[in-house]
Amino acid sequence: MQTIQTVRLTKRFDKVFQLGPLDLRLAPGEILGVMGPNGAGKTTLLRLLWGLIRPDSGEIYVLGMQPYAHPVNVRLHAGYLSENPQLYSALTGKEFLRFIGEFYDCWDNLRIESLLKQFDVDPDRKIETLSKGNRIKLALISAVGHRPNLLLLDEPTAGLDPLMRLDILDFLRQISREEQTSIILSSHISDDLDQIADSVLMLATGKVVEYASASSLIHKFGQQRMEKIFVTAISNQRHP
Amino acid sequence: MLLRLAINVIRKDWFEHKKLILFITGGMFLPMISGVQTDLGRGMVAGILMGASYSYGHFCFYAERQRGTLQLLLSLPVRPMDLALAKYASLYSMALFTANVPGVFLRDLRLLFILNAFVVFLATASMAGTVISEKPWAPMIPFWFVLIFVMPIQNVLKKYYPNGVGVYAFLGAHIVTIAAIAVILAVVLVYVSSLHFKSRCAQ
Repeated sequence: MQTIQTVRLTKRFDKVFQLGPLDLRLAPGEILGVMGPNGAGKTTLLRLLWGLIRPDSGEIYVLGMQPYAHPVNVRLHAGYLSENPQLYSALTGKEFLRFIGEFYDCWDNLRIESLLKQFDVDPDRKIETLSKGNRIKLALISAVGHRPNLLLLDEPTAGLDPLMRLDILDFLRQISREEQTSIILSSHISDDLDQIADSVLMLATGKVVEYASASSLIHKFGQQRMEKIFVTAISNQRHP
Repeated sequence: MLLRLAINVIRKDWFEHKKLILFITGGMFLPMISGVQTDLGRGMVAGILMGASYSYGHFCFYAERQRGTLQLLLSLPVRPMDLALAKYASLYSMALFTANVPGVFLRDLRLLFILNAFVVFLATASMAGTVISEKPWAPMIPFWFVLIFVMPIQNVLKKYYPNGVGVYAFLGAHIVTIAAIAVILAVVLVYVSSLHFKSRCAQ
């Protein structure tokens, strides 16, 4: 069974912007990179998949369920990290993770402890005293504490230093390979997608520019870097 | 499930706002010491409970929305209506703690019931404003109505509507019944505002 399947998925915002139609498929353990400039529809796509907004037309199936109809069931088996996640600054990392863990029946405290060590985040410090990178790591830990089958990440590495970015990307690669967690990663930073994406969706003003496996895109455009492929694909569309 | 959610939200909110809760509750001991039979004591109790109702409503819901953590809560595996109800439970845990911990020293069950009804209704109305509306002044709306009772209303009534003095006196004589009605109204407000929140989240 596909982890995600969308059929002619469309979302409009007051005739100003339309995302789609999108036909996506995501297999277990696959990492899909979503790239595009600001306003391309990356966050809208993730919000649709998470059931935070309803599609105007088309169908979405996440883990076999429609996320806007069964958001609780989908979220019990998936994890979501929004862009610039806002956490409770007055709580310590431990208190925050305990709060989030209470929402899940299969919360794995041993995994949490090992991830805190792996990411070098001090759980006894108040969140307001953590660096931006450590806050994002804490939010990521809270998104994977219940061993989700699917992880939706909205610009998780934006504003992080290279070492922290590599830590996070290594971890994502590890859980996709070892636990068969499917991941959708939206990013401005095409370097992230070069490193870990199995397939790439390129969006511009809500329309699909390219959607294929990373290897076939590299073969088709004769370029190694997704950024260059994106620029070439956009200019091909404008000047066919 | 809802109970587990409510306990979790209450614990988190208390961790976050414990200093504020203890500060306001501590303030309530002052009129208890000075005596609530005096005008000063009664005024202090009313003022502190009004402040508590507004602050708790503000911090339980409006602050979550303003700093973006409401989005975090809504992205968790929880129904929006359950979340709103859990937040109301958290609000009552704070408001009733503030009213009752110092209130037991009153040794007057009738007055304690009236104080509880007052704080429950005001806190509910204040938070319902923030649950329904995103406007920053929304939690203030119920306090405009409270001002009517704070104003020298008997003098105003005598001057402009003498028949109203009797109604005012009647209300004063049936304050316990009015308190009970306020509690029922609070329940209705909780239900209506939670339903509104649910329907807005579903859009």
